[in-house]
Amino acid sequence: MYIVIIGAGRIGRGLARSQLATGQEIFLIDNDPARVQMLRTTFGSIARLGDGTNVTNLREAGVARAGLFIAATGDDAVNLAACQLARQVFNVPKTVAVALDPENATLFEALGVDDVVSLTDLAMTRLASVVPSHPVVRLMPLAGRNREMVALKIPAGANVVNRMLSEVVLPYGSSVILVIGPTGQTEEPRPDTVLGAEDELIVVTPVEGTQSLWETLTEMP
Amino acid sequence: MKVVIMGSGRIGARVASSLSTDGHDVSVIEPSPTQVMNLPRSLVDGGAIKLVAGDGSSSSVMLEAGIEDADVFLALSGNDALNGLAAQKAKTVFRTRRVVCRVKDEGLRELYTSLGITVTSPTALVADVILQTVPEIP
Repeated sequence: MYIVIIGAGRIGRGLARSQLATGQEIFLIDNDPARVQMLRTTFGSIARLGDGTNVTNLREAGVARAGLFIAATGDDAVNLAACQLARQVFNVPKTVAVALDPENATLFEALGVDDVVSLTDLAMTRLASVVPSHPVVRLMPLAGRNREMVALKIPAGANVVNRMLSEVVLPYGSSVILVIGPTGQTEEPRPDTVLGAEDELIVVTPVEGTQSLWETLTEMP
Repeated sequence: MKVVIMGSGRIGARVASSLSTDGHDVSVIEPSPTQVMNLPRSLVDGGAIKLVAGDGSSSSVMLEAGIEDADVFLALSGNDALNGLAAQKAKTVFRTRRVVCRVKDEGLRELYTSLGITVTSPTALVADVILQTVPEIP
């Protein structure tokens, strides 16, 4: 398939490299002479200098026979305009735009772009899976004693779920002062209190014990 | 009438001060402090023109400029694609009644016109005027 790509930045170049390797026919347009030169040196004449929102440039790049048009510049407005031209003027069957601003993702689809890749949403989704979903919330430092009061939620499936409080080895000097159930009911902790998923514990702990307290309460099998 | 203008280059600034002097409620969106200098200081300092610094194609900036109850949105920056995006946002997201988009590139002019946006091209207008001033040329 003939694929035309606007924007020869990291995304455009990476895409070109991977698609050329699978035997696709690729052409890129970029307004930066250095980028175009770099592509030509590496791959031959698969790139031209120009503005991807200019009809003449698009025509000369053969957009009319493209099966896929990808706008991957760092400028959302340019990506939209290029895709709209590809569709309206050259009847390209499928257009794809990269969007940096998440609000543009839904808008671009409403404006006729077939597929929008929202970079910010992708990064956020990935980051959300890296950041712990059950963090330690530091409620307050306890002055002069090098201790703090923290809140931790026990995730479903953690090792401590269904264990009695007396069976759980907490860091030296830590004590649970309140257990808050998933529906908000509070319970004064006793040695035979059974811990459940999504229970929140309010704990007074030495500051240096906070990390291992979190590990103990969130550790998975 | 309430008018939101994106871009305070020479064209945007002139349109803004003219509308403001005529008594209209004018907001101008402009990210560049240098371009803001094109607006008459008296109108900005006196509060006749509301100035919003920022990217004119971002919804939050458009909202700050009062797009929600604007009668007219004029995309008059020097950037065709940005004007096109902001104009389409005003039309489809904020349902602004009258949207005008300034465009230099002829191909984009046709595109935006086909999308139902009123497009004005200073380049074409100036060319027409020049030709009219030289009637000797048939």
